[in-house]
Amino acid sequence: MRRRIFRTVMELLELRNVTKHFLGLAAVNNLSMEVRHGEILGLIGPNGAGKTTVFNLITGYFSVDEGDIFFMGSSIRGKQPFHICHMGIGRTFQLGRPFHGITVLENVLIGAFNRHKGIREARRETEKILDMVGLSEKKDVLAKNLNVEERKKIELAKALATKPQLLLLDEVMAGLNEAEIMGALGLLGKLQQEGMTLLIIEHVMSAIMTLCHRIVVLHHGEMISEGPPRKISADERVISAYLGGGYHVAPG
Amino acid sequence: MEKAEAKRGKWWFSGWQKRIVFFIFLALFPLLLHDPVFIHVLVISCLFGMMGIAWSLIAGYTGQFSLGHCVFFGVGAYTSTILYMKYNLSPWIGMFLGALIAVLVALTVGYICLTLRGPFFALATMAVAELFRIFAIYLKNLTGGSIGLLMHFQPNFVNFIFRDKNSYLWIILSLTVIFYYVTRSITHGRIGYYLIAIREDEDAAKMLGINTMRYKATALAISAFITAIGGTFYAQYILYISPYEIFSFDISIQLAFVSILGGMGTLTGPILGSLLITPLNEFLRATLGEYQSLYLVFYGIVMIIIVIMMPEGLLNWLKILSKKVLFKRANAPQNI
Repeated sequence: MRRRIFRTVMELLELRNVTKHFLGLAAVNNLSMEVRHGEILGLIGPNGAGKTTVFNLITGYFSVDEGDIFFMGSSIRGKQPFHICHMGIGRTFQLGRPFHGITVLENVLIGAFNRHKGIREARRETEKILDMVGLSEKKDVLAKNLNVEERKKIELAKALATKPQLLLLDEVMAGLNEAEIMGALGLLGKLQQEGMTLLIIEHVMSAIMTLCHRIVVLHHGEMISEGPPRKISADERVISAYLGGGYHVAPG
Repeated sequence: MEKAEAKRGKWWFSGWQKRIVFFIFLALFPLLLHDPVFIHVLVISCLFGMMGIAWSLIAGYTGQFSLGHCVFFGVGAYTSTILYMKYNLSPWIGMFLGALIAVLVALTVGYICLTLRGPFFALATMAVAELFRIFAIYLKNLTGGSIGLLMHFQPNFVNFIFRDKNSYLWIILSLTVIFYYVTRSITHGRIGYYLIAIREDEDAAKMLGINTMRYKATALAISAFITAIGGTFYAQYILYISPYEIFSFDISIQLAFVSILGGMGTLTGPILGSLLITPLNEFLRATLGEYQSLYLVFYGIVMIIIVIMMPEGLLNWLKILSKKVLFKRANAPQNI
């Protein structure tokens, strides 16, 4: 993985006063936040807080009503999703959207074409990624025949195959059992060590608290808190809006 | 299964040898035929098979159900015919000019219609086809209006007019083989995977860095090119074109039929599908033609039966069937 040695900008991604309305309802309201190079940033909040909308705005699926989004210092507002992918932002979908009619390998291969135009190199990259996420044995299975965990894995593999600098993960751990979550945590940690920056939406609190360097909490499309996990878990507003009483991070 | 494969390899040719034998057979095949009706049916089957491949590229691979492919067919037919009749330009050249114009039409239509999804795209293409038909009827000076254009029978290679049907068969066989391999080379590479990704989930495809609009337009343009070539061939074969026949919904539907029956998202499928239903269509028309449109009733019934019997298309049905037979043979008791 390429590491940027000279960083002119500290922020890899910056949202500046971003607002998005749906029929008068503000899904995201005047949101300003940044994702720093090499960090794992968690995005949490109750259902309907606008987390996935933020992802859709960053990746260009929704147009930004007001404000601006910067990736590596340049504005990506109004850019098409495929262009944003070329620039280096990868993304998984909440419910997983594999291409059902083709095999796992082919699914990931399509992602790999983003950086490798030749089919042979793309295939090599694909094999590597399948190995990394643990789908090698399933590579010739049709994507529609995968179980929940494998669906999450293929979603991740497809996004990884595009070789992003910033990876947006939308609930990759939802529906997984504890062992599977541990596996996913290990994988994400490894990705971060290799230099990838991660922005993750997650409801599995234990995972978010152990994995993330910083957390941003959304509520009704607005940021109500931001900071390291320990600060978030102690924040009164976060507890009342989302966590509920009685959630504490284990000391140490 | 593997044993059966290995065994087959021994007494059958390898891939490229098979292909060469097949090409030689195709090249010599027209010489063996003398029955004009049979040749006619083959020519039409081949023509629709070729255009079925074109349709399969945009609908089967890319998932964009065009029901207005007669537009490209017509643009090909009219361009070469008008150029030939008014400017005496050889239809061989007109064929490629027509195909290029069809590509331009495809890109224009695609720019507007390809933003629409699913049934809306299909509806839009039908509307475009209607538009072209009306234009063809009203631009009398150019297209001959609803009377159409009738070419004089002057057999000559340059004129793309031949006395014997065998020549037409030979030409359409060559065109089909060429475009089969052209399309195959596209679908077997990066672009082919992109098209499948677009078919499966366009939004997810975008997120993997695919400029979906561009590749949909590319697929439509290639499909239009091939269909337009088919249009010119048809015009030169029948020597008469009219808006009602050329810009007709029947043509668009027929292309969809051969592809769907043959097997969506395949390239051999449309050819097989066409070889199955085009002769049927011609046969029913010949035998029941005197009872006006009764043949269409039978055609419809047979069509429904085929779809029920082979919901995944003829090609897949054959694959399953051959697997069953092979499986049986591999597992048959040896001592009987």
